[in-house]
This record gives sequence, structure tokens and C-alpha cells, in this order.
Amino acid sequence: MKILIFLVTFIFSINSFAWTLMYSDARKYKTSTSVDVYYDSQSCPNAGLTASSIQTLTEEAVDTYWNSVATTSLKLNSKSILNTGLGTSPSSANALNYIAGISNNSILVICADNITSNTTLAQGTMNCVGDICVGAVLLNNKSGTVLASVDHETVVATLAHEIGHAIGIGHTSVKYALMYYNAAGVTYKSLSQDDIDAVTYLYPNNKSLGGIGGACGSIDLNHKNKSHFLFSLLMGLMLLSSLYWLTRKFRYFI
Amino acid sequence: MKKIIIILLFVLSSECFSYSPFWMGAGTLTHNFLTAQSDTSGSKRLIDFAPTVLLGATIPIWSGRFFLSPAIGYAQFFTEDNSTKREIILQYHISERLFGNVQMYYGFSNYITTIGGDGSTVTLNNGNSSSNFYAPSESKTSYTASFDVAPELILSSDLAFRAQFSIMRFLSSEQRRVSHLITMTYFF
Repeated sequence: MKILIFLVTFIFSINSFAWTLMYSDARKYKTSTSVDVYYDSQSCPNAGLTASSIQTLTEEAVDTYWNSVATTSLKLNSKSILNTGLGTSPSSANALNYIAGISNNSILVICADNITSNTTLAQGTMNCVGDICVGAVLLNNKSGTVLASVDHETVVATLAHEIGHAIGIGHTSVKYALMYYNAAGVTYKSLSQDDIDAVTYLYPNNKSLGGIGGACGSIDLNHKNKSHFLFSLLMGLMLLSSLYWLTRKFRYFI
Repeated sequence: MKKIIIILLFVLSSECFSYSPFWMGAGTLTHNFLTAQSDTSGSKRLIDFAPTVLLGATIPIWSGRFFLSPAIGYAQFFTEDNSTKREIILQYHISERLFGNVQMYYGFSNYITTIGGDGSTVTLNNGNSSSNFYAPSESKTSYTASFDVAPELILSSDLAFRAQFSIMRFLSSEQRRVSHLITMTYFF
């Protein structure tokens, strides 16, 4: 019994923190349009990656992870390879400044051989001026980078993790979550609920007024077309007819 | 035309089966069924424990076999120390007495998810050192529609077991996800 009490006390005394944000003011991109992802034309020879393979891997990362969440309006869109001229040792600030000059609401993926440790897989960051945000992902191209020795799933998960930072999500203490700081010992297949809650918080599905149903509780109307409006209207009429029937049925009690 | 109206009135007013006008359900809600990662080996989530309460009505609409079954529900999620999550569920269902003691519910739901935090600053590992990250300081709400199918096994005159499967974002091939809501239902 004493052991049980000790164990219960021990378990409840452990602090665990869920998903976090990069910034205390919850900076985020506009989701009225998609967030575009661009790529630098330089390859990462030390990591064994070309510009086109980085693009393919990033597309896999956004489709497998961030673009597959039902409760969010975020949409990441792979764009083109750019000749940035930032060289092989770009800083995060340089990458952010460059992409801000090209397109707002965008993220640049670029190789960097100036990351301090070769055990770091990559770095991700974002910057916002007012409600205009840009992000950058720096892949570790330092000589002896560990990025060259990890498997395909880990490279994809690394890109997804850094894009997570680039869209405003911080680390978590949930070990199997994509946004945990250390990829070692984890087989990544998809987002955890912790990651899903983070992206849902920053980029929730909006409530759009679409007929009576929308007014009564909202229907997801991110894709504004007539079928959604009719669906919403149908739901609202159903709810109203139910309420009407109930007031008729129990008119002596109401 | 008169005959059609008479037949419609007859059919709509008939109530062959006995039914209870109100019901209450209690159970657990699981989002991202078989898609969310649930451990370090990459396993997918089968079930989550999020206590959920539903209050609903049963309204006959067609020959005592079809019913309108609107309901409202509340789900409370257990989260880590620095965050909160709760959900209101609005259901617009039609139910059908299939055979014997099996009733099937079809329809749509709105999941109104509210997520928040305590606004705390959290120091977590970051690469080879540590950095400050931030819990959200205010709540935000996400609205998601689903298409639902829910078979129900009627156990007695006032008790039933229901397994509801909700296809979230059913119009989006990329974001389509399945949730399930397993409840015991009590008919008043």
C-alpha cells in the first residue's frame, strides 16, 4: 500500500507540458490563402540531398503531417525552387529577410553548413511584422551532419518538425509527438493528438454563417460553395422542425 | 392529389412503435481514430478517454420507423498541465428502426472544439540546450462538420449501446478523419 501511495504521488508530481507556441503572442500566418513553401536551388551535399529531393521530401512532410488535420484551416502549398543567392552559410535572419522580399505568408527551405552542431538535424523559425509572417527551415549541411545517416521517415519527420516551428508551434514534453525536441528512439508515422491540438489552436476552422444551421452552431464552410450552403440550410431546418415538434408535443408543459 | 395528401398525413401521423421522446447518453469520444500517433513505436490511436455526455430527443417522422434524433453533447478532454480542451457536439441525426433491437442513426454533426492554456512560460529542451516556449493565454474555437453513422443495440426498454462513427471533414480527401463516440444511452 505504501508503495502504491508512493507511486501515485510520484506520478502526479511529475510536471508534463503539452504543446507550446514559439511566441507568447501566438503569432500566425493568415489562412485566408495558403502558406507557400519555397526551396533554395543549392543542394545539401553533406546530407545527400538535392534541391529537387528536398522539395519532394517537404511535400511528403506537409501532406503526411500538417495538411492532414481535420480541425484546422491551415493549408501548406509547395511552390518552386528559387535561386536565392544566399550562399552555403545563410543565417536564419538572412533566410527570413530573403523570403519576406519574395512573398509574404511563405516559408523558405534552405541548406546551411553553419549550424553549430552536426548532431542537430535542422532548425526552423518564423518572424512576423504585424500580421504578415514568414518562416525558414535550415537543413544541417555541416560536414558529418547526422542528417546524412538517418532514414527516410526521420528526414520527412524532421522537415515536418521544423515546418511546425516555422508555422509558430513550439516544443512539447510528449515524447511521441512530432514537436518533441529529440527524434531519437521514435518512429514517426503521423501527428499525435498533441500536435493536432497545437495546429488547431493556431489555425482553427472558422465559423462561417451559412444558413440557419450556421447561425445555430456553424457548419464548416471553408470551401464557400452552394452545396455547403444548402447542407447548412438543411441542418438548420431540421433543427428548427425538431424544436417546433417538441413545443407542439409538450405544449402543456412548456 | 387529395389522396396523396391523405396518405402522407396518415403515414406521418402513424406511430407503430413505442418510443421515448428524450434520451441521455454517456461514454467516451475518440478523435483521429487509427490516424493519430499514440506511442514512440508509431502505433495509431484506437481509443481515447474523453468523458462525453449527450442529451437528445426522438421524434417520429415516418411510419414509426424513422425518427429525427437531434442531440447536444459535451466532451471534456484530459490534457497536460498547461492546456485545456473541451468540445460541444451538435447532432442532426435521422434514426431508423432496422430490425429487432437494432436502430441505426445517420446524419451530421458539428464539433465545436475549444482549446486554451494557462499562459505560462515553459522551458524545454531545444537541440543541445533549452529554450522558452509559451502556453496559449486565451482560448480559441474550431468548428468542424462530420457525417455520422451510428448503429445502436437496444438492450432493454430504456437502455441501449451506441457506437457512433463520425467522418470529419468528409468533403476533403486530404483532411478526412474518423472519430468514434461510444455511449450507453438511457431513454426517459
